[in-house]
Amino acid sequence: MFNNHSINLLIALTQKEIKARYKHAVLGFLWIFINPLVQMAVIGFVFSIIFRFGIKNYYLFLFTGLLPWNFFSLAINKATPRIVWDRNLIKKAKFPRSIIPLSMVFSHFFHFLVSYLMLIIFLLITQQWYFFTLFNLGLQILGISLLLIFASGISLFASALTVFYRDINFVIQMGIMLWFYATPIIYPFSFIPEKYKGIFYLNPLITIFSWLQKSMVNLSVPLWISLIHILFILLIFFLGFKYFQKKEIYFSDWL
Amino acid sequence: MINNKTVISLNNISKKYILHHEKPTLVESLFKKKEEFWALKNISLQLKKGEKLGIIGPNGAGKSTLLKLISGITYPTKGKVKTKGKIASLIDLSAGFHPDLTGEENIYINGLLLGMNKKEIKNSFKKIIAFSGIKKFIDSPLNTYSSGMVLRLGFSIAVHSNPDILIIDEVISSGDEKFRIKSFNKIQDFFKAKKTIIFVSHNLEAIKKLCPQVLWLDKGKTRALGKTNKIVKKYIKESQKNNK
Repeated sequence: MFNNHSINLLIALTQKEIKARYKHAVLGFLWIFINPLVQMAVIGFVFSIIFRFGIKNYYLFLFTGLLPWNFFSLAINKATPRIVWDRNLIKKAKFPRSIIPLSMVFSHFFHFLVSYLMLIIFLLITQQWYFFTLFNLGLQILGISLLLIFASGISLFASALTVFYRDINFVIQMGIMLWFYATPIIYPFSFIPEKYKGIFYLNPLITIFSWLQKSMVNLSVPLWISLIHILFILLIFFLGFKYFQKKEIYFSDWL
Repeated sequence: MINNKTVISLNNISKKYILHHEKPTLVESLFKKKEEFWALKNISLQLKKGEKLGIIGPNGAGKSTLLKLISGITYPTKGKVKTKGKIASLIDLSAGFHPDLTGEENIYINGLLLGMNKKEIKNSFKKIIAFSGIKKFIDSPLNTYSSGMVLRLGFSIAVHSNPDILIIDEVISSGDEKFRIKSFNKIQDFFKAKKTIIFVSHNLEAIKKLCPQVLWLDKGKTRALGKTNKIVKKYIKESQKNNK
């Protein structure tokens, strides 16, 4: 399915995506750093004044959630219409079509890692040692990996569906926007009234973001619910891949 | 029985398209009745290693669809396509390029798309650039190229990808006179090099010269398959009759 050559192609297309994005900018690759820096400064400043929700390090709380979310939403939003946009690649030759949406997900993952690294440096400089416990670092890696898998699964599903039903692109855009507010990123989960918490547990991202923000606010999702979330995410990835493989042979007829 | 020298085998393949009069939307695809169209019906074909096949037929006969099926870009609705070895198709030469990347970067991506590995690309890099004749512009982004330059680069990458099977669709007519001759010579080299070649053209003289056997397609069906001279003669006769 994915041989050595496909992996090389996936890497090349991911690099292409990253390179092409900054190619004609005077500051070039510096934008990879400038972008998240400015975003962190402005959003962090504004939100720290307006909200806080009684969190001590609200600024840090916000970014341990917002940076991964930015990756998740951008990756899915950009990958979904990609097969349609890249129709000229599909009409050129035979190769596993899943490389196209996956290269989008990975290029955004690369950008996320850069901004995440900057957050880590900031945490080091300001000596927030509680972030650097072995337990918390483990949770970070686990949460980020799971988020990557989830984003890939949804992107595979959505990008394949978009070939046949162009409406899916708009459904995804709208869905991602609503999902943002349904996930405790700018507000802590404790802010949700007790009687609504059950509904929030339907959102598998709760588990991921509870891990990512564990060191900032203590949100405990019951273990069995987390397990269901993890299984659900893996299932989406598996089904997304299967669906994509089943449908990719028809792509060129619809483009 | 397919023997082990067979590199292309089409077994009774048919290809159905669903006609879209507009871009598909969710509502339309749920409620609108689908209009079907058979681009190819019951085509069977075997090619051994090193054989050359010409394909002729009027516009809309299904020639391009057949090439797409063989190169694996699309799949048959019925029947099976089996191929052995690396295929390079000179179908859509300007496809697969990124306008913001340089010629160099595009050679790399395009080569990978065509099934070359990193080493092969590296080894034929200079040859690709030299043949395309755009050495001076190779580090400029592709959006600064003329369409002729893009075609030349696309052609150059495809012919240097060292294919086992070469699929050619009227490509010789691209570029200026100088490049036309150059590319025609290159293709003749492939014919001499015992590659398996499928050649679609309206240029019957070229077909007669290059391909010992020919497939005549008409409205998605096989009209004739066999010795070139005989079939081309019949084809010309019928075309003239239809014109009267």
